[in-house]
Amino acid sequence: VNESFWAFNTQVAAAAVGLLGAGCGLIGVFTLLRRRALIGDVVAHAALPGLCLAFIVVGSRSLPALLLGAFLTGLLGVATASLLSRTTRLKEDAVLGIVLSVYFGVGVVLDSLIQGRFKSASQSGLDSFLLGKTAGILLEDVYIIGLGAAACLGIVLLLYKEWRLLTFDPAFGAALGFPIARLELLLLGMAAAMVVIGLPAVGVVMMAALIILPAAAARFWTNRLEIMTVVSAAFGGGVGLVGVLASAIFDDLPAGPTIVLIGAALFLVSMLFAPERGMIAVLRRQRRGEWKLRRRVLLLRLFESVNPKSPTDPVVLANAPRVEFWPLWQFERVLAECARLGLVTIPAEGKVALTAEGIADAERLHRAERLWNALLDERPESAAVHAVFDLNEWEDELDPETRRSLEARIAAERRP
Amino acid sequence: MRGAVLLGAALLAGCIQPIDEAHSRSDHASAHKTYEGSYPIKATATVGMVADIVRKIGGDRVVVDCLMGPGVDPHRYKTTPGDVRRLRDADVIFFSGLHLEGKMSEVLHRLGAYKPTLAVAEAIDPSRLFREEEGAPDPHVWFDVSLWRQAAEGVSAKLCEFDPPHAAEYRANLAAYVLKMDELHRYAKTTMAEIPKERRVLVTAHDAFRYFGNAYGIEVRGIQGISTDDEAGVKHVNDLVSFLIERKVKAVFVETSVSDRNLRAVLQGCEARGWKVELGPELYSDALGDDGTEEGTYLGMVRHNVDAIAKALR
Repeated sequence: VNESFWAFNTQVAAAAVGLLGAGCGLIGVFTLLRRRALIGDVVAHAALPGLCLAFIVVGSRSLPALLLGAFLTGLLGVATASLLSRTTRLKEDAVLGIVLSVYFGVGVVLDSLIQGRFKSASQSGLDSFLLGKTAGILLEDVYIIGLGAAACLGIVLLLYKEWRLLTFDPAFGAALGFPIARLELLLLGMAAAMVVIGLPAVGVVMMAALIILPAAAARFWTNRLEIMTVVSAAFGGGVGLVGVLASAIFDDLPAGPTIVLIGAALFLVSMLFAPERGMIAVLRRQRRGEWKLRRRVLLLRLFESVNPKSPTDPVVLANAPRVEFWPLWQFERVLAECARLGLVTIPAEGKVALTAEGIADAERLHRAERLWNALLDERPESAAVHAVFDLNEWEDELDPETRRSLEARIAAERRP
Repeated sequence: MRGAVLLGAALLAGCIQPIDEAHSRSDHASAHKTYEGSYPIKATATVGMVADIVRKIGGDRVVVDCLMGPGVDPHRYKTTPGDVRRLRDADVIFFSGLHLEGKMSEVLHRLGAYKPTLAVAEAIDPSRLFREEEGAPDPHVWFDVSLWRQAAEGVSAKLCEFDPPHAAEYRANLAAYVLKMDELHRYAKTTMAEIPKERRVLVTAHDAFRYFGNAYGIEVRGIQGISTDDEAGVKHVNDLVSFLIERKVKAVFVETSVSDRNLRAVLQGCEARGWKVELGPELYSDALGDDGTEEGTYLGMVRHNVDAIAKALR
């Protein structure tokens, strides 16, 4: 680690972007779950005309004035989007696309007008809001950003219950008498404020990533809102810190893009490796489920082909059912697994026999299968409810009355 | 941003296409033919430094329209449809070249196919240009007055070729102007030499002063790279802070056409380590001062920079 790591400007930038990331991470959780993830992008783009207008009105590069202008048109952009999606038949994606690009287009036009007409236009650094100037973060910016992050934290702590309702069941919340519309407005307002505060540091184009990535990455690690909120804030802060420190340690590494790339890497790792919800965990679970299903199918078919009077007698493997076009290697693997679990034995080369345990398993499965088929016959409409459950356990979900009627049906089938 | 540039380029392409085709068979005759219209000749220039030398050499025979006014950063300038019209209406076009007019450069070079056009900085002896490792030359040549003198000679040659009947006038204007340039060149050298040697360090927002430093013997550091489009890394800012403290530099300089955010961050970094650096007076780097003022001319602008630097660092 070199001396640049500990330098004053590194500390300032790291503090600013760390706080910004943490605040955005907090707010991002709610916008993401509320399916308003793109709001950050809309605000960031819609802020550009506000920056330019504020510059035209004030005529100088006073940062508070510019940020206020950005905040106002940012909110106006969000309001336009919500108005369009409520009053027209356009879908959300089209609406956001329209709002985002139209506002940004207006901003670019204003920027072009300004460049020729105002003497201090280039010096004002309006252009630097597009990509941001992380290296040029000043101490004053840290205070502004810190204030914003603290406001985020305060509101989330105060209104946690309300925003939780807003996120998961706004209709229920409204029925309980919560001012859902105002709560949503507050959420969007906070998101807009964080975006605008962050513009000088990371810029229009990358601001959206700071709102979305931490929350999206945190989503993979937990199903609980409290934990997700904490994880997302930590991710956001960490991404900002690491990005700035990387830019401080290595030559010619601009901080803004570095921050976004680190956020993307964190998201990728979360998406792949998170336990339970990560892609690899999900795939492994799926494959395990597939093999389990294959074992059951084999067990059932063996059970149907053995001599009912002495079911443990070996069957010649060549006569054993090769089920459902399985390739040979799959069949052999399923057989080997069943043997390993003690459900079948392979008494001699080319022979296979069910064990007592295997027979018990198969009988249970057989019954479950017949119950299932009976249910499909009798009440197909309720089958969908049970289809999500494991074939082994689904019958426990049946109410006793249905169960009795289905069992009677099976018994009746067996008689003739 | 990109969108606006593309729009501008598309508009321009749309305008020049038919003309381009009409003249392609006559071997770009119009690009080389001499002027036959009425006077004054309408010249369009991109940046103030170029416009000013064209004015000085063209005298009453040429009226110059300058696209980028005071305080405009040419690296990031976005071509507008109005610019396209002004370029189209011009009898002759002068621009700096060497990729100074970042986003406009390509269209300017394409205009050369059917209109008399001169990239004045490209008339300078290439062996005297600084090059990046990749080979792109540093475009900020006007800060070495002896180099910009070559550009002025290029402008004069172009005008003589374009308007032979008045060549004598252009040559006389050039001769008078070159005298003033030589005088300014000497003045800059002696003034810079008066600054104590160890404090002769010029720190600015972007790397525009390499030719200046080379010609007048002052070490030069910029926060951003040669183009204002480059984003500075945090390490670069820290390195500069250490450098300023080590060398006990007393002032850094804001440019009129570049944002001062990064510089202010550097100042805070120095202050935190107990070294007070002042924000020196504004320097003109890629644009001239207001029209009608002394800094609104090329010679006045260089003189302003020289005096400001000498005063702040002495």
